[in-house]
Amino acid sequence: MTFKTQMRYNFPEIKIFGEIRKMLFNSAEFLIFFPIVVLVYFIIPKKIKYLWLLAASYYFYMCWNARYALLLFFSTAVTWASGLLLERIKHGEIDEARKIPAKKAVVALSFFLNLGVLFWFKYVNFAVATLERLLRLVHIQLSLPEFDILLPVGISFFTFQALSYTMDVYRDEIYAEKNFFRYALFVSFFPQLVAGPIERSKNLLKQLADPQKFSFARFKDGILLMLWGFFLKIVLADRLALFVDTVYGDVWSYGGWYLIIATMLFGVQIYCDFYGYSVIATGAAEILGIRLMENFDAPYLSCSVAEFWRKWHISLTSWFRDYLYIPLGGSRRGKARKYRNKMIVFLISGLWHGAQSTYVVWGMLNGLYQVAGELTEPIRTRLIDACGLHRESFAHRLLRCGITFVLVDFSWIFFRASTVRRALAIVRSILTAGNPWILLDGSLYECGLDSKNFWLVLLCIAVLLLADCLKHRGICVRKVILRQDVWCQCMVVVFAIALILLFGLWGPAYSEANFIYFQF
Amino acid sequence: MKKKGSKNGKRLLACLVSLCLLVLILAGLTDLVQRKASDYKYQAFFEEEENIDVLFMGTSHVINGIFPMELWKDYGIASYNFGGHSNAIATSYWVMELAMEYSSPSLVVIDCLSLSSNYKTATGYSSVHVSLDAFPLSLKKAEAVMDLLDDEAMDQAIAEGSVEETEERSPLGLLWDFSVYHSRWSELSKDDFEPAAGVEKGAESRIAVAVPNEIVRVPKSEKLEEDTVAVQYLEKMIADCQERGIDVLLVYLPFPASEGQWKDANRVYEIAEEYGVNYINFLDMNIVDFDTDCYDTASHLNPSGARKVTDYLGEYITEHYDLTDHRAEEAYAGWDEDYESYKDYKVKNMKAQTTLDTYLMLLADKNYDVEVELADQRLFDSSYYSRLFANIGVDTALVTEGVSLLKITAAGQDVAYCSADIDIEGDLRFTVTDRETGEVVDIVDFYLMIDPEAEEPVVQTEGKHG
Repeated sequence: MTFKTQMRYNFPEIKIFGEIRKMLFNSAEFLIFFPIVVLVYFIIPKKIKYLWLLAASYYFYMCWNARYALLLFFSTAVTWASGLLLERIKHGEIDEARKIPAKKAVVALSFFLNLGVLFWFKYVNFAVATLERLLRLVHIQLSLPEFDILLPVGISFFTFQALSYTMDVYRDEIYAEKNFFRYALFVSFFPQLVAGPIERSKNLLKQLADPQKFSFARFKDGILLMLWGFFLKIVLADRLALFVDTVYGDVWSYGGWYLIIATMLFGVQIYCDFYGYSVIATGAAEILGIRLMENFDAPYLSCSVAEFWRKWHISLTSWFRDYLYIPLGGSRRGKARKYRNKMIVFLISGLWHGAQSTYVVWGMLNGLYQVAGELTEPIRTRLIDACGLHRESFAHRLLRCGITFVLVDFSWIFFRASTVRRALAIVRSILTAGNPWILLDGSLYECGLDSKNFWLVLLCIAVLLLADCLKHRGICVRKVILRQDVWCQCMVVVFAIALILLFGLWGPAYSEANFIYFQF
Repeated sequence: MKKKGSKNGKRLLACLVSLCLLVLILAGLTDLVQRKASDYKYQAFFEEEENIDVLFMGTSHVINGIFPMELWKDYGIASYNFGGHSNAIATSYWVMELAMEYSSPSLVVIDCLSLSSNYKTATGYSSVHVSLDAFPLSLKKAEAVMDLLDDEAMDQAIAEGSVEETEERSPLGLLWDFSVYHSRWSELSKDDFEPAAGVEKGAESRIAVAVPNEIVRVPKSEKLEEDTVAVQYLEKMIADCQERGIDVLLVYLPFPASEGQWKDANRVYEIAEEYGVNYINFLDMNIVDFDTDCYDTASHLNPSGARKVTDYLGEYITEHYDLTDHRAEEAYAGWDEDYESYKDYKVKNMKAQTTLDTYLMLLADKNYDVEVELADQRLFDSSYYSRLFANIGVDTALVTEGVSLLKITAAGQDVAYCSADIDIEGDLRFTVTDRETGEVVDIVDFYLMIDPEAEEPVVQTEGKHG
């Protein structure tokens, strides 16, 4: 006989400022909050600017869940202390030979505590369930408690950001910040707190230590970035979600070509959603005089999966490269080790995205793509040479780009589906698709988007594709606009706002869809 | 230094101009995508240059039951119907407050339906939009919205699932309705670019004839005891009017009321007495005939019923309140023009009818004389049609075999039963004349189809109105 017990794990309730609602970038609350933050930031003396931003950042986070601000504080305190300890060891009067183990111990402790918290809040139930499943394979029936834990928003982001600081201090790539509050701002800086980009102390901490004066040029740049982000999120991603959610919500009714289209559109949706968030975050920071790293660089124009991963969620990929892949040995110890390291990185990357087997499969697939890509490269090269194809020709690049999209998009099936079994059913349905007429008989307009909205989506995707192509060629539309006369710039902003408000999905009749990446 | 100052000035100017342009564009877009129901109802009110003496407040019973244009024609009363579908009395209070920002009435007539309710707004949130959208943004409107959304009973009902929340009840949605309607971009039609305005001064003619629910009666002694939110707001309305020197008339319009509604109506006697205002409880009177005067089984009056109630109210108001008859005033000449539009609208409605029952119901209008040529009298075997003929004054017992022509004056003020040679295509021909102008406004033939299995005969036109 088996039974499950349920344990509820809660922090004590903390309520400040009365009833607070979660503050999405695309909420009315943020549109009030952000201008106030900016206005006060540029009015108050330079010395206390960081304190104001820190208060604003904690307020922003506490709008989601006030209790979990304690976790943010814990992670901050641990990594800040680890930095100071590492600095003290470095300049301390102990044996040089003992310094390295001592520093390693500090790093290990910081990682242990931070990852421990992350594990508890994100992975404990998954680990318990996996353990049960494994034991069942050897015929041991065990019933472990299930913990009712609400995942703190953005925990994976701020934990990784804080840990990068510990590592950077250990590697002497950044000084140990003495001012706790300034360091706390580095971990909690609200534009990138809940969904990245995962910043490095080398970039962000130094900028926070030197607040800039108001710059009209940066203000305009920031506004344009934010508008682009809002376009991606509320006009495109949220509209795509209506279609994708309808089809993926009932895969038994919407089979074959419905799933093919929905999967293709999901690839665009997740890009617009996450890219949109990153761009809004970058724009908001830019207005405050802080430059965040670029998180996406036209990834769907990549000609290989490896290139895709260099251009997709750059801040996370580079984090894994610097703090996991390279410490594991990277590509220095032979091909077998290199492939093993790649697989480890992508498996962990999958787990980072969520405590579900679907994410593990998704990560594994992406790892396999890269390993397979490298293994088959000599054959492919020989084949191309034998056929006399020109590698840099447009058609060849387009073909490779298309194949990369198909491979990446295929892996998104596992990312989007609720279970591996369901994902496999979707794959089966796609592979046996036999209803191509739905592409022509108007059936597609009955999946959450009517014909006008469907065509609006296609038009917006064309705009995004054009922008990405120009970016790929080194032309930044934003910079082109900023080179124009101030009146022209103003007109662009005015019409962009009007169009986003008209075509965006927002307002009381529509519940703001969460940004997909908040759950990670 | 000077150069820097001028650069900053240019930037500031650019920002201000952009902001103004953005506001203008959004104002235009807001008008374009707005659902037009609220504007349709209120546009005539906002365009009114003359003062409106009487405001009618309440629910759909008021919308469908009181016709301001008939009051104008017969009594010279300048009035506007502010009834809102399913309006809670709290909503009526705020609509009245907002309306008074634009006019100074002498009398406010309040229908006291839903007195037992603790909600501040309708459960169907779109009705709240219809009631408020057309009022321009103002501090008073903001106050109204904040108060209406501070609704404990509604919050609880939504939480329990007894009221469906079709739209987040946020102040933003009511104060800037673009936030709700912008998604209408994909359904815009010609009507959105060239919106029409109602010609009934806020009223709505609902054209149908329905057999009502069971009619019950409850003695005066049984009444609502609770001081509900609706009672509180009704008292607020009366007190506010009295403070402004405005007369108040409480009414409970006629419909087949339930026991609970009777109790509500009985409670109003107490409130009226307490505040020293008049009260007409139509439930206790026989002004309308529910067999012919309802357009749905639940409660609402059709134009036949509405004209009876409107006429009674016109008499009562003229007798009890000191209102000026504006008909001869040059300043109110616009109302005569509006009445002409209203007349055209009534004729259009009449010509749109394809069944005899709704046609007969619309003929219950003292502004018309009607001649009915009869080729087949079997219709009068039907109790249903007999009642509808009786509603326009025809005594069907007098329609004997020799009678082939009925001359009905002013909806039954006088009826002549004649025999004449007739030559018509159908079984009955109606010739309707405007009493005022003598102009024939409609000629139509109806065809009688008797199915022995069916309860009532079917009488239809071929859609050819002359």
